[in-house]
Amino acid sequence: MRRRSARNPDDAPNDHGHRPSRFRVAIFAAACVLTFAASAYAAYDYQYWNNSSTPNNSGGGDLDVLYRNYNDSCSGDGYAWTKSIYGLADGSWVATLDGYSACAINKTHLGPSTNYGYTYVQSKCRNIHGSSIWLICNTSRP
Amino acid sequence: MSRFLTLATVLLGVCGLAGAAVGAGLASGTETPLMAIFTAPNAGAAEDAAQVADFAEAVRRWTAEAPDTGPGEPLTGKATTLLAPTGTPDTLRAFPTSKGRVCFEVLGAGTCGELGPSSPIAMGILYTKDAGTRVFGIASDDVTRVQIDLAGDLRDATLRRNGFHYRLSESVTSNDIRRVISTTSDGQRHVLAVHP
Repeated sequence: MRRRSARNPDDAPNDHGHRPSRFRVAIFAAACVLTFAASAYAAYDYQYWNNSSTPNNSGGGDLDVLYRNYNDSCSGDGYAWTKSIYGLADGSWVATLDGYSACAINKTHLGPSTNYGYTYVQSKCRNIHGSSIWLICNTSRP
Repeated sequence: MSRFLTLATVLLGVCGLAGAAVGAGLASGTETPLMAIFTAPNAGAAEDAAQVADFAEAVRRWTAEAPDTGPGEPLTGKATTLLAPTGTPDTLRAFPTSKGRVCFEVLGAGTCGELGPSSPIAMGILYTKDAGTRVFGIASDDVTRVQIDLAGDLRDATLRRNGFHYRLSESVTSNDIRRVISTTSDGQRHVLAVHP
């Protein structure tokens, strides 16, 4: 027969009654630390995805996406599209430029983001899909 | 005497080969980009040197990253304004490179192309939030017409001074551009598929 404790009038075992409050605090603290660390890391260096098949002029993140055409994404005839993008945090695109020429020589340049009324840090992306533009980008921002 | 003649013959041959090598080297460094605008009297009269300089830096970076396939050294002294369509904020400028490519830009946004018999135009599609979508590019001397195929509806781009430009209406997006068709003086149509 379990003894009732004055500190646990609900007949809950002592250890089970204390563990939830300290345990929750510990979990919360750990979560805060992890969140802080993750946010700090994300603010410094992060990746995002973009897909040109999203609704027109939407998609992306709040950074300049510079799509570099790599040979492994060229079409069979040796020609391909290259795309440069300035995007906003709401997913809209401020400016984009599509260029078309031979794979080995195809590059595009959007110029300073201030030309379009915004200031963003350049990002470097690469296409990882063979027939459409799936971008994986790495960027750093102050 | 025979030795003298032999020596003279050898020397003449060596001189001939050396001259040919120098000539070939000079020729390869000054390839012609098939655009008469760069030999026109006002070549090099491009406005807004800052835009040209910024774009030229990008071209130099591309060349440095890929010396064999890159566009080459920008010849910004020949940067020329091709078109400034009324009703748009755009001025289309271009300059040749040391490898015979032509780099062209609108608002500092641009790319480079290599014109030839099978590729009489090079193009870009620029979208900006304030002014919408424009198709622009360069055309070789024998291009007589550039048309934009918008969901089956062919629209003529403004074609002048080796440049072309077409601004889409607000109701149309770049996804509606099926093809860009250039017609050359021999009647051939060259089709670039955009969104077939």
